[in-house]
Amino acid sequence: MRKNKRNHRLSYEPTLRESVVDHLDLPKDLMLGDSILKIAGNREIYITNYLGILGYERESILLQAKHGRIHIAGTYLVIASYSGDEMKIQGCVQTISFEM
Amino acid sequence: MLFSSFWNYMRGYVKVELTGAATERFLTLCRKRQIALWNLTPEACGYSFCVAKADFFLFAPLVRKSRTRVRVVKRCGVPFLAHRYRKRKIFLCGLILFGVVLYELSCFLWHIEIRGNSYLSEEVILDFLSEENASFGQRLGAIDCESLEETFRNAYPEVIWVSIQLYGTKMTVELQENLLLPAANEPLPDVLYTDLVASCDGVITDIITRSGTPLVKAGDEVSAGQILVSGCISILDDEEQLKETMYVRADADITAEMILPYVDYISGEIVQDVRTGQEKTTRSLTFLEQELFDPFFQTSYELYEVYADTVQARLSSNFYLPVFYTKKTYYELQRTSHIATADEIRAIAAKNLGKHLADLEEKGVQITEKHVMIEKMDSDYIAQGSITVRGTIAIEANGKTEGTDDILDDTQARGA
Repeated sequence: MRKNKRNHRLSYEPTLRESVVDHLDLPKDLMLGDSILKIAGNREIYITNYLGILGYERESILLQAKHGRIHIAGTYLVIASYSGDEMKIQGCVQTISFEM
Repeated sequence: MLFSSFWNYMRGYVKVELTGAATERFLTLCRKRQIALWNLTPEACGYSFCVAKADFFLFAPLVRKSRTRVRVVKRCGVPFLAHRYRKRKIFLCGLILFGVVLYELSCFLWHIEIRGNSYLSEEVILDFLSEENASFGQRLGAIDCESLEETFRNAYPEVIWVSIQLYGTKMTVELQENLLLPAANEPLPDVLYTDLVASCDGVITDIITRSGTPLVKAGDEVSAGQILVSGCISILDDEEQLKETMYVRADADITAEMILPYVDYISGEIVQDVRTGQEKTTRSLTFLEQELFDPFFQTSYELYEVYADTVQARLSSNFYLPVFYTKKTYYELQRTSHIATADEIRAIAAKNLGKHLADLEEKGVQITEKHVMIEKMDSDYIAQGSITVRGTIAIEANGKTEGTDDILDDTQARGA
């Protein structure tokens, strides 16, 4: 409930947990479950800490993360590898957007 | 990437087509069960992906849960190949035999690389290695590089540094030779002292003595064998009486003008082997000492020259095999002969003389004059004359200066 409230706020105000993690400089992917995206040019994306695939087409991939969805749009997109830890997407990436 | 592809091929994988209502749920279940998929692509009615053979058998509960269907489209990898060719026992035996032969061949020395030699020829070094049982075809385990290096240095004192290394089936011999002349005061073995004597007749033009007593000066005419610098140094006292005699190794730079005779016989008939343009090529394969050649190849040429180009087979830069591929090209020749004209004789004489002068210059002498005449002798010709050169005349010789025999006798007596 609190999360929904925060997501609909107009100005960003970190939660207590986020503030503690931020001040102690702890890894956010472990403490907050944030996804990590590593992008090589517009050809490759490595994603860790994702929950699953919601939709997959040649032009767009929709992934479920802990705090929302990640939408990757482009052309000739292929999931080159898919495992419990990491996903590698290849193709011509045009946009990456986050849906809360 | 390459390694993972190779690993997947070795353990075997299948290409699967996934269809059904909740294909995304199936993928999520795969992620939760830590099943790795690759080349996941969307298809018209679902997805297709590759999965390891072992992981494919874990799909049954996931398919039930997600109400999807999987269909194997393609089987790839070694386990499937092995199953497909399980009845070809001779092929399997051949494969095993090939592996064993390859392993056995990797235990021997099949290639030797020599670097850094200038005075010592490759043949000399290869002969030495052959005598030391470290040559082509020797078992690698029997070669001790360190002791070989030590033996090499002892056998060739002019080599100041040598490194012998084995890389795969290749041996590298790297060496450094002492290109400088031995130091003047370095004692010669079994020689008490040395003189410098003239190597041939000539006129001294310049003399700089570093050690010993000079017996000639610039402008003197000397004959072959004459002592130029004696290794015997007489030390006089204040009354110019002989106080002491020292014996050293004579060392000096002595330049002289020398007249060298030149004779060159030229045949009056010029015989030439000219290529007719006809050529034949054959290829052969040599394994160890056995040559496999084309049995139908024949050279019908009476006179020919052969050019051979040999390449040694290797699996990597250091894994050489005793297999040689040789390409031989036979060129047909036609022998023609005719009586040489005066111009041709002159050209041949000039060419031979030029080569002779170039050889002399390579030895470090300076040519000042040359007088060569061509004379006819029956049907042949003779080019003869003299070449005046300026260069080093002195050569080292064991001490012969008068009075030294007594000293030698004294030294031997003292030693006894």
